[in-house]
Amino acid sequence: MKTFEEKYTVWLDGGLAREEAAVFESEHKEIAQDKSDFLKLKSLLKENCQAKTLDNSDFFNAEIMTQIDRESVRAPKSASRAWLGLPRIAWGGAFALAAGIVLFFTMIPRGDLSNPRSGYVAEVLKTKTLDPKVHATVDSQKDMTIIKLEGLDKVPKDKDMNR
Amino acid sequence: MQQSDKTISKFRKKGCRFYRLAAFLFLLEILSGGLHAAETVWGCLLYASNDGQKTDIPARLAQYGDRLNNAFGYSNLHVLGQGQTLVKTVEQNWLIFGGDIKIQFTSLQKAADGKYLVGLELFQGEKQVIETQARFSRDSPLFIRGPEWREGQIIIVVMMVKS
Repeated sequence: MKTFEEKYTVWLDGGLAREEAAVFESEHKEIAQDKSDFLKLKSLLKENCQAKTLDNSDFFNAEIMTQIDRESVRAPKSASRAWLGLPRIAWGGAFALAAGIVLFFTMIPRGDLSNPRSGYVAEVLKTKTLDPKVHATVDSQKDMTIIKLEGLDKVPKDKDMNR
Repeated sequence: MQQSDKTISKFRKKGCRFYRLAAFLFLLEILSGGLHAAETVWGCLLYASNDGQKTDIPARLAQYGDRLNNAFGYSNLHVLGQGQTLVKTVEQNWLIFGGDIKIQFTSLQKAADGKYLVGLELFQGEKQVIETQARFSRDSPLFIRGPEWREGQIIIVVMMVKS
């Protein structure tokens, strides 16, 4: 003697003989809609839940485990490659070095800081007068170089020198 | 999937090439910047006298006030005019002051040690007075004792300054 559940399952799967199915349906009129719902659901699942077929059906578990391992390794590796790849570190280092050199030469004062004039360089390498009446001598004092010109024409008193 | 990986890899390679080129150009600019940069030359005209007025010189020369008085034998200094010009290596540039006093910069080179080699000519009116080659560090003034004017002396000052 089959229980209702067993009979119902066999009926859904279409396993009952025609007469037996007609008797079962007449005894349980409330299940008439169930079969059509079941068939709809079955066709939907068949359309949308296609199982991926593996290339090689042998060694199924081994293949699954290999694929899981491969995918779990790929994600963190690509992230680390994006940020910490060796060429990027090298280029980052080169940029940092260049920026450091630029900042060193532009921002840090050099020379003897105790004396602000210690970096003074104004060295006259050669000087030549084109007027024979004019003589030039170079007076190189500490932190002050003067070219002294003798024999220049005096500027007229009324000449406006403010400009 | 493999095709899209290849495309991404190709774009990454192109991106890497771009960054390398940009880095190379950046370093090249840093290394060659000092050789071709235009430099600014500042100059002024001072009047040294014993007229009893208060000394009035540009702030850049403040530390030289007393020493100039001693060197030229006057008690007061007054600024008559000042100006600056951008000197490029291949061009001739002028600093023009009152009283037809002019300086023409005929050459400018920046040496590896950061010093400047400058060629300059001093004119009084249309007459060329001297031709000089000098070596400067930045902010180091060269003083030229110029012509006499009224009861005092004209002093011409030239120095390389930060642009």
